[in-house]
Amino acid sequence: MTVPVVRISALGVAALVVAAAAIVAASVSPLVPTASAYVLSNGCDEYDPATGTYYRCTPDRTTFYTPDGVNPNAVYPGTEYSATYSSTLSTTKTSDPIGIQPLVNISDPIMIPPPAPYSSSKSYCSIPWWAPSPYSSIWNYSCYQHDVCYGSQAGRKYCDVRFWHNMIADCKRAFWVISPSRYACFANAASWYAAVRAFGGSHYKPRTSSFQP
Amino acid sequence: MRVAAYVLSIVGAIGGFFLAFGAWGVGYCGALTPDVASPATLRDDLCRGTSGDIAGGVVVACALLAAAAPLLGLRLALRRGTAWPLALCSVIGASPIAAVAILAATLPQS
Repeated sequence: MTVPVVRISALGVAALVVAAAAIVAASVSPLVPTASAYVLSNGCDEYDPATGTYYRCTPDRTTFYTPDGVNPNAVYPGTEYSATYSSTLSTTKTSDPIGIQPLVNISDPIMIPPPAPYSSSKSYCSIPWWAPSPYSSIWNYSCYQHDVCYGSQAGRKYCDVRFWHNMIADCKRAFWVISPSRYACFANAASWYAAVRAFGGSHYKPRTSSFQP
Repeated sequence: MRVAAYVLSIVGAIGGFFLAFGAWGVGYCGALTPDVASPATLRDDLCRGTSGDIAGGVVVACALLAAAAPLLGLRLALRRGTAWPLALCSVIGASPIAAVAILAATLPQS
């Protein structure tokens, strides 16, 4: 008579253990997300559950597509000059090897002085006090490169997508894959990229002295 | 009506900040770009120094107004039992940041 009781008790204990483990796992998992929750099955795309945003990797798996769907590695120097300056600089037109832009303007930047060297003590992002970013310090060199790119007239679209590429690389370097800061960094990068794409055109001017980046 | 007001408020906050940062900060003042205003120009006054800080504060206030106005409109709309105060407040609240965006696009850069 005692054997079945022992069996039931053992099953009951086992069931309790399993149920407790399931409850603990269910309650802890949202607090401690695993990497698999963010990095998608191809091992490169990432998903931010807080905002529901997917970051889609480029085919060479080195960066993400920009928020407007451009592969940064497929945009070449000289892509998309502003009309104001392309008309004043000597330009030649050539086919885009990958066909993203029907035509690209390649300018001869021989008259543009070389850029000032990078200084880590200087802030190159030049954001206003009312729009601070916790990531501006880790993006300082990316901002410098963007400034140099604009000043060198390397192509506005090219400069902006490189800016995105560099900011994403900085975010990945600074924050681990399960850190919420990583995705906040991506989101901030997206807003900066959108701002320079939408409103940066009037500031795409050649460098006038070697004191400028 | 509550849902509409909350949606309008969120749209106002996001759109207002995008216009403030994008159109004013980047588009007019040249943030995130190497282009700095020449000294003793209107752009220099509006973008740098104390006067630039004050102008930035006004722009931020306009963005905040775009976010807050629909909530004020909701309060009036619920009190009066009609939707038009919500619509009116939303339009009036969005007007200043729209004016900032127009100014940023039309003011001389030099």
